[in-house]
Amino acid sequence: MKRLFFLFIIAAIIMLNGCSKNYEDSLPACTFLSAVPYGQDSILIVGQVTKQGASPIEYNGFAYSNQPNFDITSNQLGCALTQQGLFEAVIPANPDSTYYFKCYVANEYGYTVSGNYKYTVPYPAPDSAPCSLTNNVVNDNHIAWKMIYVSGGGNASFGSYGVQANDASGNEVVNIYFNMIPVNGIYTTDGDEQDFIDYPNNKFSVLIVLGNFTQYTVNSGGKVYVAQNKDGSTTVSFCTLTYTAFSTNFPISGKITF
Amino acid sequence: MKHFLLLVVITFCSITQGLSQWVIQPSVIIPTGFNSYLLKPGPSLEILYKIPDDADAFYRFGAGFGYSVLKPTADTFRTYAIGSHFLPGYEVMHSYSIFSVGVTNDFNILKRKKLSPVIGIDIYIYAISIAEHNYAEGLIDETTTGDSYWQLALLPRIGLRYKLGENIVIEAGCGKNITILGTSDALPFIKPYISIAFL
Repeated sequence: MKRLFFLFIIAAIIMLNGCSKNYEDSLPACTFLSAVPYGQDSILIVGQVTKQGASPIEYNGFAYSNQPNFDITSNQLGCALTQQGLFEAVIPANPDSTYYFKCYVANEYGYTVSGNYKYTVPYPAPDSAPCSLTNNVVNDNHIAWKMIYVSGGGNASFGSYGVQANDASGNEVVNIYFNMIPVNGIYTTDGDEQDFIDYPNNKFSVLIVLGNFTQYTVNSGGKVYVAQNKDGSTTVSFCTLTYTAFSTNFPISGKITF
Repeated sequence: MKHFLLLVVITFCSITQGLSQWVIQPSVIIPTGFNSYLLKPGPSLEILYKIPDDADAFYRFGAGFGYSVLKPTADTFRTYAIGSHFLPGYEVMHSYSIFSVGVTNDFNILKRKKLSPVIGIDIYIYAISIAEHNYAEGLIDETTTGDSYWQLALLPRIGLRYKLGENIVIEAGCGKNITILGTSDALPFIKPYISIAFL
């Protein structure tokens, strides 16, 4: 009887020895899965909750930076809640730029952060304006001008690369300025010359100046499409740009290959 | 508070002198539920005074007090706060201790047997003292040296008791703590124990 009693105690001690739990087991976990181009100026990032932990997931999201050492308060993106699956976000991104990503996931016990994921955004595929255009023709306020003299080079009045197109008479002059040698992609017009000068790192910003003596700058926010052709030439096209003269907006579209 | 409790214990002992038995009850507090990932099982020691002193009595009533110390399962807990966005932080638990005062009720199933199953139900008041440091980036940075909380709880238990000679009764069993009310989150735990009663 005595032996039985003490056996009971020893068995209980052995059983209870395994009762201690590990804090790490209570935490959720996530993995940063992928980053892929999304359209011409964004990327799609995808993470996955790989472990729920000891309580339901309460938050999950991403953080990113262009520096490898960053904490998750940088450029934070909360995502739709998922308990055991994929979550995603679309972020604006510049081609040929390197970004570092982490995902984070939290439950009632705490949070965990994935390791760094490095991704360099590739140049987008060649792109052209979504309208019908004739090569080397500029439509200025519904008047078509055939551009006879077209050239591009690095010695530009603004930015680091300029393209100039003139018609035969010299009445229609289009100057397009880039902050880099233009590559495939969609660029956004900057309507302020000084702003264009002040922010040379806005690589996908473009300045378009019309005219010879009296000059007009194309308004901000328009899209300019660049395609690098297989023969080594480059085509710049644009559809729905406007410039303002005498308080009136005039449309301009065109396609120039140099 | 401590002086008052000591006075209660001395008075209780004086009144019941000769009719009662001292009980020393070492046990292990094993947190369950939410706390099981945060607190390691920790030792506890209780001193109880039970009446009557008849080891074969069907019902015995007791009262006493105890003290437990629990250690955290990690040096640092990765906590967070939600401000304008998700704010990572941490929590360091410096100490977690429980002072308990309670009454016990034992029911001896097999009278006049050396080995007998026992069931019991105890009622406890816990004073829980926690010292910790909390941090959440840009929002919280605070150290508490002994925040106190209290809880009222029931502890049903089962066990086996063994009469070791004429004057000593050993009992081993396990109880489950059920919080009824209190000023902090419920503290569920199981409590395997060994009690040694001196008649």
